[in-house]
Amino acid sequence: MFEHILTWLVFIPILGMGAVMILPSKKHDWIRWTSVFVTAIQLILAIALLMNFDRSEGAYQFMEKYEWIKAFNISYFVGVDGLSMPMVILTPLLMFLSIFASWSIKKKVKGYFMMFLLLNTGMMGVFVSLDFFLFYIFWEVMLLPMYFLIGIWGGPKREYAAIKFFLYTLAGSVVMLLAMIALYFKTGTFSFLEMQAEVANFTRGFQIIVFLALFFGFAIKVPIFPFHTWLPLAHVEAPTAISVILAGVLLKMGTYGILRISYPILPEGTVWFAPMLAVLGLINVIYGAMCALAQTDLKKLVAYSSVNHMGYVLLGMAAVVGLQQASPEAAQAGMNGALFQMFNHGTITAMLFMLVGIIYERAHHRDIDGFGGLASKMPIYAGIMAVAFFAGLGLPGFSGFISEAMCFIGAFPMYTGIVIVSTLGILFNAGYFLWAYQRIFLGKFNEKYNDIAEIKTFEIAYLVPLIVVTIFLGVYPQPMLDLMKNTMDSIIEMVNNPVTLSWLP
Amino acid sequence: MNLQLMLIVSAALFSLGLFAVITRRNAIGVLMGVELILNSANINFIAFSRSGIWNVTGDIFALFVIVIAAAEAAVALAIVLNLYYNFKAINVDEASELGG
Amino acid sequence: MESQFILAIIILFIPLVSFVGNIFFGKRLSRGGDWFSISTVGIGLLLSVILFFQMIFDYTVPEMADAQILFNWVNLGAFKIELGLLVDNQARIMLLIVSLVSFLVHIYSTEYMKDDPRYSRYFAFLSLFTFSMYGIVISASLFMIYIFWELVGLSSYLLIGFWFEKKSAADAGKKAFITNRIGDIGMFAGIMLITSHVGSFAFSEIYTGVADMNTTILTIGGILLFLGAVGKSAQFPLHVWLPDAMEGPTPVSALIHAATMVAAGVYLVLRIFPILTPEAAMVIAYTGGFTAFGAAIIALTQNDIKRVLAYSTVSQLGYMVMAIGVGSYTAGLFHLMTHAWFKACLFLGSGSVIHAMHHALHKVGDHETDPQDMRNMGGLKSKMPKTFWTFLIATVAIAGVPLTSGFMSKDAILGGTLAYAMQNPAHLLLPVFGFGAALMTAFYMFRQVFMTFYGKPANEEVHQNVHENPSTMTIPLIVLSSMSIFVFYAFGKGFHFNFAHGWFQDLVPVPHNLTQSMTGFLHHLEHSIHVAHYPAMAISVVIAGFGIFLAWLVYFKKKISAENMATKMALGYKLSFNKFFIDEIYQKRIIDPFLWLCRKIYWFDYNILDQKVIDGFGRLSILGSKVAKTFDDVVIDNWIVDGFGRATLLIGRKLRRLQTGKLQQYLAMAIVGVVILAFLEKLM
Repeated sequence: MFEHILTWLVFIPILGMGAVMILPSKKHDWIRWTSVFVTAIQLILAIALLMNFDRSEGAYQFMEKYEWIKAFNISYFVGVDGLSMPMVILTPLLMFLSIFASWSIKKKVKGYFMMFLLLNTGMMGVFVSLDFFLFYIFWEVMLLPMYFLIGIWGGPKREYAAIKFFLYTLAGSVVMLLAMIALYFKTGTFSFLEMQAEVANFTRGFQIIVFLALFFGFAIKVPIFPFHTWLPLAHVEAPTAISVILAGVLLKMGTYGILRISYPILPEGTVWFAPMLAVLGLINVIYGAMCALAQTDLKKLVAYSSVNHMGYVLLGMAAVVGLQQASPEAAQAGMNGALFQMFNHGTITAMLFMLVGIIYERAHHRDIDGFGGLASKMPIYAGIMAVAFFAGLGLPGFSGFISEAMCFIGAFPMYTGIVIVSTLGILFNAGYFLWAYQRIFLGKFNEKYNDIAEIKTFEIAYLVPLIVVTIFLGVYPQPMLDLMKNTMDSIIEMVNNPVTLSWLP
Repeated sequence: MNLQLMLIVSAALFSLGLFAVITRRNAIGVLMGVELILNSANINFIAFSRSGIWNVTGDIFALFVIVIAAAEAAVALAIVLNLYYNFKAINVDEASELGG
Repeated sequence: MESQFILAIIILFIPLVSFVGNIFFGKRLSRGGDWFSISTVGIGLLLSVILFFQMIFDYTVPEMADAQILFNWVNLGAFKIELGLLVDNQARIMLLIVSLVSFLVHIYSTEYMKDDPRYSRYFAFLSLFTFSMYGIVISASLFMIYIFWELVGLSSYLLIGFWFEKKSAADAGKKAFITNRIGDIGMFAGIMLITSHVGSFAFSEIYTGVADMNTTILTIGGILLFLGAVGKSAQFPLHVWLPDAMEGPTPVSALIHAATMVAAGVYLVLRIFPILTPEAAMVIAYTGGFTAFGAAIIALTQNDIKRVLAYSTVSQLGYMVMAIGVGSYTAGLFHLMTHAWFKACLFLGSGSVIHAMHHALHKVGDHETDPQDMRNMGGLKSKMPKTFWTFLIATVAIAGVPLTSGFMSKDAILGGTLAYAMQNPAHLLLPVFGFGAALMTAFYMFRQVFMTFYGKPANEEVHQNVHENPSTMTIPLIVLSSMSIFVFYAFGKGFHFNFAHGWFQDLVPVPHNLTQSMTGFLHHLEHSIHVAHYPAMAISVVIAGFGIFLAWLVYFKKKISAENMATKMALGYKLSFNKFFIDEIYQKRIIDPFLWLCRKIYWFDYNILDQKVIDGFGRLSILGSKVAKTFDDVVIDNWIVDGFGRATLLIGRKLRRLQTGKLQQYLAMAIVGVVILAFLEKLM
């Protein structure tokens, strides 16, 4: 049954898209429930995958490989390991939940859900591909529906935002394509596994150049300063569910790419770049937080908080060199923390965007200063928002805390100064979240919102799973860490001692 | 008979014909020049056929030329006639429709 | 697992149950679920009392290894995060303090918060706080302390901002959380610094692991960790949040901002005491001393009954911190405990006054007068006898009058400070701070008593309507004030009376597994303390008496006019009344410029980075494409491609002259051509 589970996971949304396509476009409910059904199946499959995943194993599992374009040695090659597993869980989860957050889409419902499902396939594909060519194709497949989803269903400046997003990401992918081709000519293969086996043949200069090229492509996606400016704009214009996906899943593709491709294949480049990565992480943390502090638009604030939070991931990733510097526990803490933070940011930020969407539907604006005292009128909403904000500012008990702490602890021995400065980020974090919370919910009640409606049960229902996941992992993180730790160990090993390992199965 | 002499006559005749063709404005005159040229050729055929080994080919060619010249004259006269219908003249200068 | 750990786990988690229960179902329970919270806290109290008496009867100081259990919360192979329980004597004492004050505050709140629309949520938050505080107390690892540290911050935020409709309350909550976070950052950095050298988070590992650490790094680590305490225990320069925190309901102030949470900082310093270097300890001592002195000055001139207590708390916390800094470990914890009782009593007493004033003002229809301003009170002694007497006992205790708990603990601290200065006369400032603060404490506390309970009422009509509060509010007062009497602390093993050397000194000895330099230092200190003890006692008694006498002269006898004094020392008065303008300085010099910077950065981000640079690339490529288009149109298409056409046309136009249409010319030319060709052939 599990032989082709990854293929199913990737392509089930395409089937769903076909089903939606033949439905009459007037039957909105049919379309919605079909999408729900499809993503629910995908989610169930993902959970089944999780149950059958062997946690004691760091290598790839559930691999499928078929020759595709023989002339260029390209194959359809998929598999999961501890690095992709959290993402493979996160994606269907957020997809499933954000369908409910899309319920309020009234315009061209059919097109929306078709694009939505196509996007799903693209993202899943990225996370399971073990062939660079396949990876690249899925990477681009994801781009197209995103363009339409922002460009058609977005806010007032949607076209500008969509084009900017599209072109910016595309610019990154082009450079990435060059790097891919360079690697191909060097190794004669597109398979990650086979590339890893060739590491010994890469010169240092080659590694650095290719690393930089790949990094450019991934950095735009993460987004790493100074390539982040598409993010606030795209977030502000995108519809709620798309913001959720954008922040929850798409941003992770950047760091995932670095961990999956750059780290094992270009170990020397990685070691060379790691200090820069820490510096960039610091900039992301501080700069993102300071920009967030200056916001008056709630959604932009959350968007900049993503820049801030992805900075922690970079810090954690930079700790990978710990093994060389006789601090293996730091490398472990940093790398696992980074991946864990990727997952946690996915769930927490998704929650935040959903909540912003809910208030936007009621008030039709997101101006932080335009509210006031809403906690007395909508206590449940205010309570859930408080949970999300506190999760976002890294309060213990929520999963974000432990992953942020691990990122810091991991990076500390190597980059002491940088880490100490970037801990200021958690202060600013608290600053912008609490300040925003106060301006929206506390203080004197703004009479303008006398008949604002409390959050509906339906809306609570799609938030609760995220809250549960966040709290569960915050109290008991070990299951998630068990999932990832063996793979992270082997990546750390590959980066630090590349030649000693033979990685072909 | 002297071949050289014959060729001189032929050449003279050719030159006269050519001169007529180029200079005559009247179409009939041009035609006549053409006839002269044809006949100068005929003289050459005959002359060479006489001067070499006995060979009837030249004579036969001369005959052909005569026949063709007759036919040509007929066609040419028809053209001249048409020329006249169209331009009310048989002056070749008039028919410069193809001029650039 | 031994029974103490089972009890500790139950104590820890039982308030969490009532938190969750009251948050979700509180409104549907009868009486808003207060009985639920009270009963869970009551169970906690019962178990804490059991643990406490276990300690008293055993009368031993347990080995660290016997008092703790650890487990790996996070285990990645090489990297581990240990959590665990450490139930030593300090923890047992703290458990008793937290659970008793929490329990009494719960009872008290049933009356104080009676008509609040968010009654059940209030109890839920109280339970959450109690849970978090227990967590700090019994944690066996720095990481676990940090976790609960933050959770305590959360519950403090929620409770300070409980009446969030008031902007000042919401502001105060935010300020508390963020100011605390500043300290927490330092603490977290300290945790990272220590654990990256030691490789473990557990105290037991850290205590032994720091032995071979570089002293400078250890000093920095100690100071960084202490920053956490600076935030939580409201030490200068992070003390600003605590007075503002008085915006919360008064029972909350009593529980969190007087007795327990703010003491967590002191508790943290106790926990890291074994790894402090003398230099770090000195920094701690000076911070504490300076805070004790400065806050006492501010307290002299405040008029808000709760604000006086707030600054008094800051000052007393400074005492405790100073005590630990000078090596008087035991005295620090002792003062923490005695202070918890009398300060909780004072706060609950002031709450009782405010509650009564509030109702009286409400009755006469006065909504303008501030029920917390002491200038609006006066003569309440006869109206609220129970409140008065308990308040007085606690005041006497805090002033350090003999036969009270405050006398014993304060005296220990002052003795320790004096000994420290005797060891090294350069630190004379510390005892000056200590005795100075003691003098001011006696003064402002009796000023408060006289202004509130004696003299003429400010408003007769209001005064008529003031009534003593019901027993749910007064019983906690009585319990707490009775804890301020010396007898509870003046017995040793087997309950034998011993005034100078009670069970506390025996059960909470100065920990001995210390860093090298500190060990020697403390050894010398021990001798000095014996010498310094009696002089200190004498001086403090005299000073307390003088302070009380002064307050009596000014505010009871009115022999000296307070106004005159204020005008004579205008600058001093102004500085004190405006809290040295520290808040204003922070706002003007730090917060405003910082927010300005944030806005500028965002401006840069959007207008320069995004619109100019990134979109600049877009515009650049549009410009480039325009250039390319022009090149394509003009050069390639117009010049080159069309040029060929034009050239052909031109040549054709020239050549067509040849085509005269004259047959004879053609022929002539043909002939000429033939002739030329012939010539050419000849030439070749």
